Amino acid sequence: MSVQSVQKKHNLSVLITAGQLFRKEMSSFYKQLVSKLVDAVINVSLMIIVFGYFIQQQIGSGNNFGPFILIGTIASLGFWDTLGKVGDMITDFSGPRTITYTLSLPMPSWLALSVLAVSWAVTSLVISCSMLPVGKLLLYNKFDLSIISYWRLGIMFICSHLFFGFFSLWLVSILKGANITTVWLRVINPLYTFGCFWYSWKTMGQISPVLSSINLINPLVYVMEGFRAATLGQEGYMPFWICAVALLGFTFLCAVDAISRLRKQLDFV
Amino acid sequence: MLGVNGAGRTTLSSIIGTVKAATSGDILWNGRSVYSQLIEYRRILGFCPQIPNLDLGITVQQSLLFAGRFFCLSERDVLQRRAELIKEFGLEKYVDALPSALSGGYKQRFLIARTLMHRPKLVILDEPTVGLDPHIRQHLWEVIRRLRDGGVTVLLTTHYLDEAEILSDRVCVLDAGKILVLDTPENLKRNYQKDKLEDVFLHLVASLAETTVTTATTAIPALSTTSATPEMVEEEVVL
Repeated sequence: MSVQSVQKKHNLSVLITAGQLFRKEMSSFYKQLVSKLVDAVINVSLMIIVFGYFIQQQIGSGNNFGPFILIGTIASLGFWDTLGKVGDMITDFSGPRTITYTLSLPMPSWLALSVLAVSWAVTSLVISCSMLPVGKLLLYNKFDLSIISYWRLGIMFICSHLFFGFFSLWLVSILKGANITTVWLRVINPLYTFGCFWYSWKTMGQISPVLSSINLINPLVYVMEGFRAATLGQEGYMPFWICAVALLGFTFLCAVDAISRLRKQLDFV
Repeated sequence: MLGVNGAGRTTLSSIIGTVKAATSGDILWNGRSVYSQLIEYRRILGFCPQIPNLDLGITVQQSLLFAGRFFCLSERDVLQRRAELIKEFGLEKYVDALPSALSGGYKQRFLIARTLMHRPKLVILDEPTVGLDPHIRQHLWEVIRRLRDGGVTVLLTTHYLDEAEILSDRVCVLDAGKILVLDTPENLKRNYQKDKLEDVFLHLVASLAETTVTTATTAIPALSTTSATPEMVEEEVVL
């Protein structure tokens, strides 16, 4: 057998192992699917009822706040879902360390960690995607599906959820020794509050150009703006492609840093 | 591998199992560093840690299924092997249970079954019989004997000296990360003029201060190591 064919067989076996790891993660997820969908429906329904109807009534009919919040909620569902994995993984590190089995499989450890992050991304994407029809049902005439650019929305779902997956992995990697509540209050909360969930980046810029410029380092801004540009129209939001590219850049940075930090932290080969 | 608490048994077995990085030194397999052929090495390796690192989100049979698939076994082979191991380790009642529902003894059996799923050539068992009932312990000894008879290299860490004496072709005694002795139980008993391995061990522990590092004389076929930590072994030792 030539060196090339041996190498090809070797690469194929690594891919098979990675594929099976992904499949295993999906099997775990399948058991929680209904429960996670129920959680998501409750979350989306509450947000739409409060913002799309009650607060809409209070602020008047000038702006259609319902779809704006619906898209923000769908965009952030994946964020919250993958953040749940952070707690699970931290608990695992101080307990049974099931991660050691994953990291001893016949594949490079960076690939094993990447498969975990991608599987988190895919599971949260499934939940987020399925909330679009729920939102339409709740908002009905207030949410026009015909203005959605579906292929842009598809790209944004992929880019944002990949980012969520690797961002969560990065959080796992920085949390060693840190108090999770402190990280939540000092990192997650400001990111989310300034992440353009309740307002657009343009609105923020009208009030405080400095703050909106600083906020460009907040990846959630690109998630919210990208989703809204794809579903509510480009006008009033950041250019879609800037959001997509920025998210891919943040994903890459989180992946590289998380894998490097976890290698040191877990002392794996 | 024997040693008092903190001797470095789990650390060394974790390093050989490639779940922990060595601070220096190397592990040789087929004359080459395992780090230069990590994927191939892991394919022949089965590592069973002291603390069960079982996947809590999938059932026993799913877990075994994936343990075979990860190592590219054919689907037919996976199913056959899974059935064999479920029978062998008495897991029939628990095939659809999640690991959290298993008792300590069954968790340990399941963990070993998962380790053996892909028919590894080198099996590392870190304290596999701790907390097991005597009959399960006896059964596990049978499993280990059968593995050995089938040509599998078994690296067993234990603090049960009777277990080491009964099962081992060679015994390695570690202290503070250093190999004190590495020889057959018979040679050790003869050299130290003791009737039981336990007496040899107690003698070694008592005279640790004067003991110098001894090198091995014989070889386990699958593996050899050089020092895993700077202090561990000063010269290359063929296990």
